Amino acid sequence: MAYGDTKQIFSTGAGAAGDGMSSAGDPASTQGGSYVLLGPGDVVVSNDSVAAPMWSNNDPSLTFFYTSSTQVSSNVAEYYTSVYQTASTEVSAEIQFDISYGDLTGSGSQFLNNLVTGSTPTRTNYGQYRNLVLGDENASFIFGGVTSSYWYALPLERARYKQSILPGTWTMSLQGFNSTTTANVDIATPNLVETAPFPTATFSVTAATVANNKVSFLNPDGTVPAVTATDINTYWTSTTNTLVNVDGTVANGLTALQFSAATGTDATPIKVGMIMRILGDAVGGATPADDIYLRINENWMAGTSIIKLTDDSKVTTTTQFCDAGRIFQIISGSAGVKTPNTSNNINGYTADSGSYGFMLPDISTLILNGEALDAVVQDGGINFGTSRSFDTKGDNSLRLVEALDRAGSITPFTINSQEDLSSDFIFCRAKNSEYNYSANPSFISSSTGAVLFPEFTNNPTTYITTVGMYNPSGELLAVAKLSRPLEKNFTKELLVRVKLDF
Amino acid sequence: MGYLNNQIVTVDAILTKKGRELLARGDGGFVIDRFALSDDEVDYTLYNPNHPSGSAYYGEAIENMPLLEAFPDETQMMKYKLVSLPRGTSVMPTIQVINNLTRNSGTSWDLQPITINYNNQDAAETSGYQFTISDSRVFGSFIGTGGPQVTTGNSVSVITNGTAVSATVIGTQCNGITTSVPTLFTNNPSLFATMTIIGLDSGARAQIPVRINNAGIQAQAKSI
Repeated sequence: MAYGDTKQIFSTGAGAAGDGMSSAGDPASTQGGSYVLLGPGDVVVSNDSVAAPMWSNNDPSLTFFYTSSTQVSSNVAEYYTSVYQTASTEVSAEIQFDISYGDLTGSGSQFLNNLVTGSTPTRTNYGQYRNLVLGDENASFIFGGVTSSYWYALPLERARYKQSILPGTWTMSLQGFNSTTTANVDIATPNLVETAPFPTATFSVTAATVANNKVSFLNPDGTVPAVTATDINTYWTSTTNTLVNVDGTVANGLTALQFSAATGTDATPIKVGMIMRILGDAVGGATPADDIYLRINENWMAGTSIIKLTDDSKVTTTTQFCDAGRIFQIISGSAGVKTPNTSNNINGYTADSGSYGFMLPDISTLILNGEALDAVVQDGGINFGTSRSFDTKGDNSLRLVEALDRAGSITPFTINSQEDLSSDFIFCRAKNSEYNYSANPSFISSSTGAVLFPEFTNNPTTYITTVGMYNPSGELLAVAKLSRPLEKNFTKELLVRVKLDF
Repeated sequence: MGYLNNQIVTVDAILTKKGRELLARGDGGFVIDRFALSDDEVDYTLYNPNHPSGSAYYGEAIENMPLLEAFPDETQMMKYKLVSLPRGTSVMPTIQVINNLTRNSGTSWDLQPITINYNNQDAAETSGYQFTISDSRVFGSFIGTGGPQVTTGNSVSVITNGTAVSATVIGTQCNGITTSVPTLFTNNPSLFATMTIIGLDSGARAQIPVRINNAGIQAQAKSI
């Protein structure tokens, strides 16, 4: 664009020798220029909290829980297991969170070095989080008033959130083992028969009668528990899935006893690790055989063992703090609303094991109380059966993934993240006498430099499309576009509020 | 009688590359103390003072135009600023400057723009000019001189950005030395950028191309 000789019409008038800026209260038309200085009242700083879904692709729900077989078979799995939203081999697979099992005694994993007994990955995990959360090497994890020496930590993947977990918005479901399927005890192949200190059972299966008093339970150490044979039918209450053939006749050739879901209403329930004793004459026909002793493992356990967990941030009136910032108790319920599972945990805690854990929003970590999960169903637990054998790889993290996955299809894991967004609100005011001319080349006649239309001489009209924010050096730091051009002339004033997020 | 429109126009701003750079630098350079308005994208030839429906429709074509989103490149935004001039202005001030800035690497240069139609004459603006180079790496030094604001952001002497980031100085004149870093050229004979000059009093704007030739390559060519 070229400009020929022009006749002076423009005059900056009084104040033209200023700084080229207008400021609040200054008659900008007497100074000219393009910049307006912002006054103290034109900039407002605001902090707002913004919530967003936690999981990949802004998905609020995590229904399926996948692990990586590569990781599971590596040494890393002794410390933690990563959970993906899809198969880890998929291109879209992303870690959502990790699970690590911590144990004060070091149980549930093998020794790091056989020369140093007690030093295990689970012990390392315990110390790591004790330092992080409690800040005292002598302190204990006390969940809702009850000390627990083992737990499961779920640190959420950093890429899934910007700042922290939003308390009171999450729901996690866990389901205990075998609550809906039956477990068959193959009495002809006594692979589940407990050996020492109990004798190996040898028997032949013929017609026999298995009655209540033919079946009893022992504690793991062989002592007689409070539960009695009479309690068995109380515990195994389902009419269709009772302890099959108890109080009945075992047909000739039967090779298995079938157990199945119990609703878990008994006051002295059967627990993982207990031993079922079946008298030999119940299965041995005319000649009594040796008694059968069967260890109750988690796969035999039954019950409606789904629990939903959330935090008590909406329940408590005061927020507690620890070395990891805010700390909330994990309770039974959904989205911050307490929902007792049974009459034994009306306060949202388990009956005897305290709360279900800690929710630590400022480090975006959930810590699940192992004892609470291991509690029996009627006490608010899921009979989880944490493996706490010494110097034995327990795979407890994987077990928790299974518990999540079983419940996920029924009630997904939902959780939101939170971010405190600092915003500057800048109020840009264009007075009637300001910004009525433009340096836009199309505003000017190409040959003379005169305004495009004669009407623009006394009634210029401009159209604002963009607001630019500058520093004292005249550098453009931020820019905002309007949704449509806004008309400006000597009869109009404009107030634009520019929001700048940090 | 109707209701007055009391709504405030609210827009979300984005940081420019320069804004992010200054924010990351953390040396206090990120201080917003002024604003400007522009009409980028608007073609005033679409304004129709002969619209048959009357003056309310003169700007119909412009007002209904959808606008593009903001670009983070500070040199591509706020090109055409709106200016505040006295009512009755019929000729716009314009900046007169050399048509281009072509120099060999490691040589000095200077710009002395004047504004036509400024204060009844063709002269340098009292407040000076804002000089912005689109890629600060093409200069070894970049200095603004003269004018009341010469102490504010008038010198950029050490330019080591890894990518093209603009730099701005203020003064009635501007000078500097082209880069003498041969690796910037890689195998190219020249570096290119644009210099934008804005009059601080008039709001007038001019843009000139900048070309820095690799003196080393030229010397080799001559010897061959």
